[in-house]
Amino acid sequence: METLELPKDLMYGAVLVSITGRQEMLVENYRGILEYNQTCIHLQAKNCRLLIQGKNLHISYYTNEEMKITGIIDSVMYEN
Amino acid sequence: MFLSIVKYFQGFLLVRLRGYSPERFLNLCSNHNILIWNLNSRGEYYEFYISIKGFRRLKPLLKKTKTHLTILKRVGFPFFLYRYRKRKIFFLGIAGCIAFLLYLTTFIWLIDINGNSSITDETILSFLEEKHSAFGTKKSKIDCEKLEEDLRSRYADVIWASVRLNGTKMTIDIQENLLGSKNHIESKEAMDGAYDIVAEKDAVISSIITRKGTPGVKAGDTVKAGDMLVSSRLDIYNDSQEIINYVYTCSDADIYGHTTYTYEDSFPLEFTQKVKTGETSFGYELYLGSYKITIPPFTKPKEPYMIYKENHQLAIAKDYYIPATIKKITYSACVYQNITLTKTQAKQKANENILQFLKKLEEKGIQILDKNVMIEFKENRCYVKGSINALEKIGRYEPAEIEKIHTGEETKEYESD
Repeated sequence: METLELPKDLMYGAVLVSITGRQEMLVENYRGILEYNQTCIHLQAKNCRLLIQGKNLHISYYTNEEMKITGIIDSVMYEN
Repeated sequence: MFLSIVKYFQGFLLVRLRGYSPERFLNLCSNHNILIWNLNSRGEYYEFYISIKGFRRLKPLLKKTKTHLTILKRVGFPFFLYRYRKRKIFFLGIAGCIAFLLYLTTFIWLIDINGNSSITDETILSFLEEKHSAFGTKKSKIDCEKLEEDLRSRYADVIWASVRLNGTKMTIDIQENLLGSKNHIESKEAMDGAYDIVAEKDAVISSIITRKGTPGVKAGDTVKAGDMLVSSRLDIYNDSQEIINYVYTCSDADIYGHTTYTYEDSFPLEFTQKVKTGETSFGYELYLGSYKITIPPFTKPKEPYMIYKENHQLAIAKDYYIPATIKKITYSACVYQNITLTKTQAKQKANENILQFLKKLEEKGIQILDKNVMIEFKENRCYVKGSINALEKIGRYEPAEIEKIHTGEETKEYESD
């Protein structure tokens, strides 16, 4: 797998998270939303779950591939 | 920005979602590729934006997840149209207005003429009218290149012309021949005529450089207006120093001479002048084609007043002028005031007048060498007299009289040829 030099998110279906400062977060390669309210967002990815906690969490947009979360992010946690 | 315009034209809704498992509904939406944005959780319910298209596909999903939707707000162009569906004439009016403006932009509504000094704007405008390219002509009927050519051929002084159309504005740039008759002749030179150079005015020759022709004067000579300076006749001598023939050419020379200008000016020391009091009132005039609407000033201006008019042609965009002009009229109230000039003030004024006169001379290419000016005060008037010594080109071209000598020898020679 390493020798092929393929992107890992494609091969493993790994979740991609990019966070800009504390206010903005872009999640790609996720499966679905498990829970959503103002203080926490629970997302399902292929191999794990993602728990985002914060204040005033707000989903700017979401599609099948990616979602954008704005608000004040306190923590990002991985669960199995 | 672009995306929000697209969204506006497609129309979208703000909806409120309630029910047992809203997360499941949201996942189903993303699986069905229904775009949802600005999703907000407000405790018991969710609020989000969805496009009209997406909203129509939601029905089976709502049934499956047992959730309910309430529409809170409708935004977008389709809703706007629906709300004003009974005002068809209004929309027709908007469309008609836009169409009319677009139609108007196919005409010329402003003509801008640059670079002309001896040919007046009016002359060029009447020339354009003659060529059916005046104000209000359809743009497609105007042939810029043809106009340029015609301008050059009609007016000999125009040595370069450019006609451009920008929007509804026609820009005419011309370059005039400012060097006077000299270049005018140069074009005639090609026609192979015979021209003498004669003095334009009384002068003392300061330098003469002859390239073609027979010089008749030398530096230091005094000449009178009309005197021959360079003759176009070249005498051909034979071996025994007899003139056997004349050859005529277009003479060419640089001749500079000292000339004297007299300057005279007088003005009264006491005069009445209108002075603005600072009170102003405005009136407007609106011209639509030849139709005129006058909006008089709110407060009637007091007599006497000065009137200052300002024209503004209306444009819908840069260079897209329309045939509507607003004229702003400023009435400035003023009072008559007697002014008495002191001697120093009068001298200053005299000086300014002289400088203006000199500037005009210099614009004609005349070099000022020195000036003698006397200022006199007599009977409450200021008299200024002076003479100005100048250096300038004094040659003027004139067609030569061609004479031939018929010597016996010459005719013989021609016969033998």
